[in-house]
Amino acid sequence: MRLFVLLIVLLSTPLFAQEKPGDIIIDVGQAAVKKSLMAFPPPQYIGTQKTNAAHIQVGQNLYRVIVNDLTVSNFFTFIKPEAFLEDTNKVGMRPAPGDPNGFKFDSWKTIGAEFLVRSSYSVVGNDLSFEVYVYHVPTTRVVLSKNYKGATSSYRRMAHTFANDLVKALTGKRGMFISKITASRQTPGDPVKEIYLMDWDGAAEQKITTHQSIALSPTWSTTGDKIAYTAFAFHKAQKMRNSDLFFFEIATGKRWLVSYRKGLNSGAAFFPGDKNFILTLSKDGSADLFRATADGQTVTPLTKGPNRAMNVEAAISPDGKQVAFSSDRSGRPMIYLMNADGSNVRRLTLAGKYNASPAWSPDGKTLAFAGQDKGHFDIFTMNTDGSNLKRLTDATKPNGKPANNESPSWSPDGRNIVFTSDRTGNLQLYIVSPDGTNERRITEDKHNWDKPKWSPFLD
Amino acid sequence: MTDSFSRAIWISVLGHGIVVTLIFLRAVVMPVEPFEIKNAIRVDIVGLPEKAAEFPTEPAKPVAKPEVKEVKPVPPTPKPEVKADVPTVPDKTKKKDLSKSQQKAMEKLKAMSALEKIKQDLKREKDAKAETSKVVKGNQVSEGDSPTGMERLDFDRYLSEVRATVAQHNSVPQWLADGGYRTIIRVFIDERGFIVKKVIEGPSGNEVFDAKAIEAVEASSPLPPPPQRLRARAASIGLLFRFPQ
Repeated sequence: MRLFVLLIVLLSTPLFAQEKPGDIIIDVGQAAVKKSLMAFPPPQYIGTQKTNAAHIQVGQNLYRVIVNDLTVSNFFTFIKPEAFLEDTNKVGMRPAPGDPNGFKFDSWKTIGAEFLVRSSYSVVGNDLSFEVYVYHVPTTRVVLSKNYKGATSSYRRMAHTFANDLVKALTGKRGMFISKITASRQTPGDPVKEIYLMDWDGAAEQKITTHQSIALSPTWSTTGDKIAYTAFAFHKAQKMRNSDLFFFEIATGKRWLVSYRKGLNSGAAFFPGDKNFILTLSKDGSADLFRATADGQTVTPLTKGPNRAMNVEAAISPDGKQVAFSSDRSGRPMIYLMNADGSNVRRLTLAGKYNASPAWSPDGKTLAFAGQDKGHFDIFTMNTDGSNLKRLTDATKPNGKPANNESPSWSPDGRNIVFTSDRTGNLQLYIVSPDGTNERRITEDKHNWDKPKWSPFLD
Repeated sequence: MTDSFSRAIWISVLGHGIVVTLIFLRAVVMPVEPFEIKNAIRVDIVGLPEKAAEFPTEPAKPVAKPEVKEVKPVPPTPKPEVKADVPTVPDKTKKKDLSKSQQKAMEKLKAMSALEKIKQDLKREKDAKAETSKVVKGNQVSEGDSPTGMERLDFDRYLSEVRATVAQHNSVPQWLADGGYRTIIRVFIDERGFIVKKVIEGPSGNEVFDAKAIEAVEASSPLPPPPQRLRARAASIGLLFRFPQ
């Protein structure tokens, strides 16, 4: 009874007890958002071999990766070194007067810096040590102080880890800088497509298939330990190729055949926990979605037509309860949603001529997809009931014609979407914020990249 | 001529007979292909939206001035005898750009304001009498002190201007934007509109967010001078500002 009374009292207490009856309240509304000015001098080399060019290079690489990460976070604008009032090579990493040779906060306040990063590194043999302090200048407080150690070859991971730590320290949320992207790559003129892994920024490419065939549509497991993909493998007995589904375990490099039924075995999407997945099979004629056990042996149909319609590209919601997919059951490919057991199918997109490649945001509130209405594809987002449709891309090719922007996939923190675009001629990978701003190219080569998928958090 | 004509007729009849016989035989002997009827297919071809030219980062601008026609509070209908005594109010604030209906509404409001004044005078007299007679009224509902009529218009206009002024100076860093923070600040304003004191009554839990809200308030001083009736309250009790809302 006491508990009940206490509950009633708690529930009846206003959320903001400081608001008194009769108070005149003014709701100021949403604030304008702006980037913070950051002063980030390059890390000081404190090694003993001052003239070692390789060591200097490591520091420059480390700095370049961090600056790129922090730029893409969209939190900061960097102050040019010419504006600095202190010689950062001559003052210490800690503030005066605690450190007699330390920097002065006033020097940074004067130029409007909100954050100051002071860092140093040393290389001993093959070991890299990176010490860094991040100060919030207006409050003269340390936001982050860390010392990272590792092999010199791991400088990229060290840089990404620091960027993640800073995002976490400021926002309380995880950063996406240690995540990776997988995509299929093809060299123009060569029909062979292979699957690659790369860091989120397009660096550190790693080839994970050597089928010398067409390998495509890679997908991450929800735990990020393996990748499912489809390859046109040669079946010796039948003397023919078939689009079979493979799993690849990243840590061990182990690969195994999961589904090789006649026809399509493609478009895998994992349920949370990776105990089950959905794939597209065409063993019965038309392409339909099936739920499979982890070994791929047992499959249960989720869609069937109607009228031999195609049902493909399953995307499972983060909670595993719903499945978005594309289907041409209404005449043209459109995005549909159904329950995980195949029930309650409803159409989400009514606009456009061709909508495909649905992708869930990590919070499960938004779907991105590629849509076409005027002869080219663009990336769109919408709520999961089909409302609030927004176009994120509208780039053109050098000849002035609209470019195709396709195959969206969300970063694990939901702050970016990777997609392919042929705006430069070849299919390259780009990222964009979910509001359509901050578009950036992340691959710069002559290959064609297709069907990128962003990993879950990998740290 | 006749023979050749009748021969042609016979040939024609024979030919038609053969064609009809063939059609008949085909219908009887050869199987009919099934005619499949499918459901109608709905095809929607609707244009997808264009990319927004600019994505809003600024706070929504408040309505600068509430329109006269939107004023809803209507005081109780005055008694006929009082109505007869309503003095005509000279229309000093008449603007040329007001539409006819707005003008009428303004006149009505002014008339009601005058009525209120009379009512208040009557009430004061009544209260004075009551004070002298020392009668305790007891369980009666207060008539309240909410502004009405022209006073309400001034009041709303003032709050709207204050909100717009503070919103202009309200900005937060991007890294705080998605934090879901909320701060409440009580602000004391003197009769000239200068902010004389501010107190964080509902801290957000984030020092920087609170500081940004305080900065926005400080940068907004001086605010527009409060209306006459609000002056004492703005200076002694203050106004509550909610960031963001």
